[in-house]
Amino acid sequence: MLNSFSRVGYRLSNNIIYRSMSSTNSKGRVEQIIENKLRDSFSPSHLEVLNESYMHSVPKGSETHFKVVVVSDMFKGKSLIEQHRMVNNTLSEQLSSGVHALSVKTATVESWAKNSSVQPSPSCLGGMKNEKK
Amino acid sequence: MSVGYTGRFLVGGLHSTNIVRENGVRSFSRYYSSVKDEYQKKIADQVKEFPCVLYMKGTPERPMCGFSNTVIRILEAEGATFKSHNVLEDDDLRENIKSFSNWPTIPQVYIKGEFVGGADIMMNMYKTGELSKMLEDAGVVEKQ
Repeated sequence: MLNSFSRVGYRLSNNIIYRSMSSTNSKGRVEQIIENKLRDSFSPSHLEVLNESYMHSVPKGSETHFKVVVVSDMFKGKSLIEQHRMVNNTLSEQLSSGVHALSVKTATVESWAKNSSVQPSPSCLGGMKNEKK
Repeated sequence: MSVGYTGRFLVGGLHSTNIVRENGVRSFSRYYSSVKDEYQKKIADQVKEFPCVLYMKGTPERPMCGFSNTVIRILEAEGATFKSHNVLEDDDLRENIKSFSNWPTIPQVYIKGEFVGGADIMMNMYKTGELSKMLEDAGVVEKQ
C-alpha cells in the first residue's frame, strides 16, 4: 500500500517536470522500462530517455520512437559500434516489441565532460504511414 | 528495388502445398525458415555487390524517414556513390536485414561488405572524418 502510494507520488512529480519538456504529459510504461534497464546495465553518470514519438505519425501517447543518452565508463575502450550494440542488446526486448526507432548517444564520463552535445533528431518524413507495422 | 519478388513467390508456392498437406504449425515454420535462409544468402551477396550499400526507408530521391534522409545527406556531402535498397518495398528484406547485422534499426550502411552503422554512427564518423577515409579507401569517392 505504502509502496503504491509512493509510486503515485513519484509519477506525479515526474509529470510536472516532463509536461514542460515534451508533448506527452506522463512518463510512459516503456519509457520507464528503458530507463530502468539502462540504469541497471550501465550505472550511468548521466542518463536521458526521450520519447520522441510525438514527432512522428503515430497516435498520441505512443511509445515507438526514442532517443537515449547514456554516459558511462563501461564504454571505455570500446568502439562506437560496440558501445551502441551494448545499448541495443540491453533494450533488445523493447526493440522487438513495439519500439520502432532508437537513436543512441553514448559517451564515457571523460568524453562527455569535453563535449556534451547531442545531435537533434531528424524530422519525420512520414514513413510510418506506409508501413504495415 | 533491385530485390526481385520472383524467388520469394517461388518458395512460397512450393511450401504452400506443404501447408495444406502437413501439420499447420510445422509447415508454417518451415516456410518462414526457408524464406529467412533465402534472404540471408541474398543479403550476403547484396552487400558485396557494390563497395557502399545502403538499406533505407524510401529512395535517395524520396527518403521516407528522417534517419534514412540523414544518411543520404551525409553520403551526398561526401560525394560518395552507393547502391540503395528500399526496405519499405519488401517486408522480408526489412526483417532479415536486422538479423543479418544483428542491428535493430534501419537505415544500415555497408562498406566493402561490412556493416558500418546507422544514422547515429554515420553522423559521428562524418564529423570525425573517419567516414571520408573509409569511403576513399572503398573507392567510391574521388580523392581530393
